Amino acid sequence: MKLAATKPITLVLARELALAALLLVGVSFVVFVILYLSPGDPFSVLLEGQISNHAARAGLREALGVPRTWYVQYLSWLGNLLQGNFGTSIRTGLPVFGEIARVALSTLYLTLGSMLVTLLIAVPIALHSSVRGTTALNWLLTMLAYVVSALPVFWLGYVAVYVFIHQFGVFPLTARIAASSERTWPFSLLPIFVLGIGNGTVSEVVRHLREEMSRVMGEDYIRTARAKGASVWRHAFKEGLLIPMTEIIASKIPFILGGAVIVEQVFNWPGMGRMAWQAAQDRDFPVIMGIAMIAATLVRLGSLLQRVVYVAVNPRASNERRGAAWAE
Amino acid sequence: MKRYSQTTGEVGESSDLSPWKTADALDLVYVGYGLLIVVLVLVSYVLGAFTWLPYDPEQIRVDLLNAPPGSAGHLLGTDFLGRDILSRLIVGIQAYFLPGLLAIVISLLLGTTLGALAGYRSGEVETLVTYFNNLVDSFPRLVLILLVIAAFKPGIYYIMVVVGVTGVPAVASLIAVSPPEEFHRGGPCPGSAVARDSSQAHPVASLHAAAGHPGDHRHGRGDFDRD
Repeated sequence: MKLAATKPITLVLARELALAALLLVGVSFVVFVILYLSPGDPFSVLLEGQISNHAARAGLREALGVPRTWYVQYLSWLGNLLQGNFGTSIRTGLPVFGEIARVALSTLYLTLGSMLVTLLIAVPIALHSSVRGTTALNWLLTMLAYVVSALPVFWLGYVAVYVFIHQFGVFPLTARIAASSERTWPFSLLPIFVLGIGNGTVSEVVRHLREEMSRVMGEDYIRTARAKGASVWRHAFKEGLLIPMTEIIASKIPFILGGAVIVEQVFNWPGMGRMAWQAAQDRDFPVIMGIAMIAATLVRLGSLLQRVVYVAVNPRASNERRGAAWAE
Repeated sequence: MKRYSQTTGEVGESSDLSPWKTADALDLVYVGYGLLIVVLVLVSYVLGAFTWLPYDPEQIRVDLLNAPPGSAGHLLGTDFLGRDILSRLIVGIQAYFLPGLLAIVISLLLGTTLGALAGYRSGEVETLVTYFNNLVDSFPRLVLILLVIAAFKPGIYYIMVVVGVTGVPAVASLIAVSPPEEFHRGGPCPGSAVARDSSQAHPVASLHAAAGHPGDHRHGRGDFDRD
């Protein structure tokens, strides 16, 4: 019995891990190809005006491995990547992995917080409208969610800064910089709320949850539960709320990470997004390659978690043969 | 629990109501938004072409920096260089629209091709397309844009190619997930929100939406037997 309960998870975990690894190799290849195709090489930015001697430049290029063939470059980069060596930043000369790790936590803090805000707004609306049907109140709230989701996050960010910091002075402006300060968290509230509201996913979360929940509410087993006086909520929770929630979160991670880039820029938040922005302007290839890889890893991790939750709730799903599901 | 106004009743039977009556409020919002964009673009081109702009969008007026809306005939005020904001908005719509069109054309062309391929030839082709979709979906769009900006020079058309390519998975899974029989059976519209959301949400099984839901319910196709 115990074996039957644990086996699907391990099976799915193994399969999903293999798939995630395969996808990440693909991601690394795409990242490499884009930067390989770029005109010139990044070291021309570095060397320009610093070393005038042509022979010395060529020598440095040789030492940095520029003239090698593309697949040798790719494989050596991938090999280093697998050992946790993301290279060194062209601009600062520090190891990329350490640089990213330094700021990754604050990005995680921002994105997880904003995800929570999104769910706190969307879940009550979705539940209310799926259980009660369309009432005037939740129609209004749903429309509001759509309007709010349409607001671009950069606009919302600047408006929030203007209104809450300049006009009312509710939030401090720069507390995050002094990390030891005990008034750090009030500042982080504003970016978290802006990203949570403005990442454009509120309406989709509402729609997805509402559709799933009202579908589940119409199922036979809910009718049975209702008929015998059991808790409808307890029966509907797994399929109606837990699974759709993990699904929608997993699929929206890229959007939230993308929104984080902008919010970090607006609020001067020292995170991965700002680092990527800076790296793009400096053409700091190792940094931006590392950030792209780590962002893709986070996305894959979210999908993995979603899949695990899905199979944990419904072990039968692990047996289904992929690709033949709708062919029946 | 009757929620869907689009339910088509018996198999093969079409609704008597006009599309406007059966449409979701949300569909109307989408159509309205699309029409609004078209109207705005038309207005922009017409006004731009006939130079009926209130002011020259490039004209700098040092005496009117950051003027509030409504002052001195500037309906929306002026910017930090004293340029008329309304005129700049009208002209700016053109720059906003054309690259976006490019992105949409790319996603539609590529996505429809891949989706149709995957839908008609299941098996290896579908696996490949699924892999491609998951690959593209692994990138946060903005990070990919920054990557391309770093690699090539920053330009709106480079960015729009990225936006177009990152839009491919959504289109491809939408097309692939609606098998031909669906149309004969009078099933739900393949573009309905049900198919769209679930196909995006599944990380791996993204092509066959909602495969193997608990209770063997296939949404997107079980819809029509619900009252």
